[in-house]
Amino acid sequence: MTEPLDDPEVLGLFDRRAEDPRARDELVERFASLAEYLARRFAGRGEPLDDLTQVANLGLLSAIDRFDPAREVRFTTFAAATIVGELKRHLRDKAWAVRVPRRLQELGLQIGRVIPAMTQELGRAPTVDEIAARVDAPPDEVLEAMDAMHAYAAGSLDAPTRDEEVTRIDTMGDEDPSLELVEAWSTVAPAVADLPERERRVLYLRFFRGLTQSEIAEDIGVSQMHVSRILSQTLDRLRSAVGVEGPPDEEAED
Amino acid sequence: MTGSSPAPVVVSIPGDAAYLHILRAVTGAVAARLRMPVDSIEDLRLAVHEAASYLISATDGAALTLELRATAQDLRAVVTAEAVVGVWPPEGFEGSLARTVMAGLADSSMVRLQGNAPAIELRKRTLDP
Repeated sequence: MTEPLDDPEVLGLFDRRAEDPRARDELVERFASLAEYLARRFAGRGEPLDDLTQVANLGLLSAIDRFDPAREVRFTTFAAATIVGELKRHLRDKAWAVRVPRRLQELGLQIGRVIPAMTQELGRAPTVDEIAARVDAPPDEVLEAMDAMHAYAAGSLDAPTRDEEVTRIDTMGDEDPSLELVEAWSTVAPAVADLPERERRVLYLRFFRGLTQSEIAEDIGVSQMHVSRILSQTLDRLRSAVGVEGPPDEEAED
Repeated sequence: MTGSSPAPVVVSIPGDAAYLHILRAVTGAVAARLRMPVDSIEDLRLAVHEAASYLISATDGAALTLELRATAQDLRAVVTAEAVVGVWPPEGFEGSLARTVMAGLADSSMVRLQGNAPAIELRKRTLDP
């Protein structure tokens, strides 16, 4: 589980980064190629490479400032997750703004708000028809908006969790009740051990505790649509790790 | 949707992961017409995706057909690959990720031959009337 740590020289730069701007600059220089490499991986999706590189560099800066050498994670692992998160969020925000009509965006947000309340009232998740009646929209449009929200939630895998400053990588390594899942799935999906804690928790709650998506949403503090997306992306990731076809989707860096 | 057993909805796609979203969309649309809560709809969509992914992989990309049939109690999704296979399910299926995921998401999942073609049937309960 424990990765080899960064070399002492790099660790020294991290120790001095707050008070010595040159140390910070040197870290940027040392790891600029990682940001460039990741930016190139996201090229060809309609965004200029220059813009992607700029986003990746901002991600790198953020990673340098937030990296905690005391955690037993190599900086490149931490930085790659941060940079990929920034790139995905950038592409998602662009795509969302361009592709989804405003009417559906607003309806999707409205649906995201009414589902928890209706789940409380009904004692189960609502049906599409029930949602349609509540938001006064045709059921087909509700489905369409839910799909649009699904796409919107895609990038949020890397977004901050409830605590704005704590991204998923920060939550790794702490107390982890879903280790039971890692053990039980070690043969069917060994890659489960590499998942961030929140993704593991979602799998654990769904497959071991038998919670519904709405119940999981409440537990981890996101919408049911977001839970569905987390499940979908996590299963894609595990599936591609065991060599079974998944959709052509970008994978986070390992 | 009225009546106890309406005609099934049937859709075919090439055996390529790029088309799986079509199966998810059709499953969602049909499930929404039944009395199914949104999280059950999403579970079934994920299970259908899992079954289809597994069949594509197990048959080296054979075309797939999804049939969705509503009964009084549940929605049944049968994904069939247009392929001839020697052994079905293949060795290792019981301990596979696909099996584990489908069993967890659907109320029941069965692997069988549809004629000579490999198929996976998933069932998800609709709400009590």
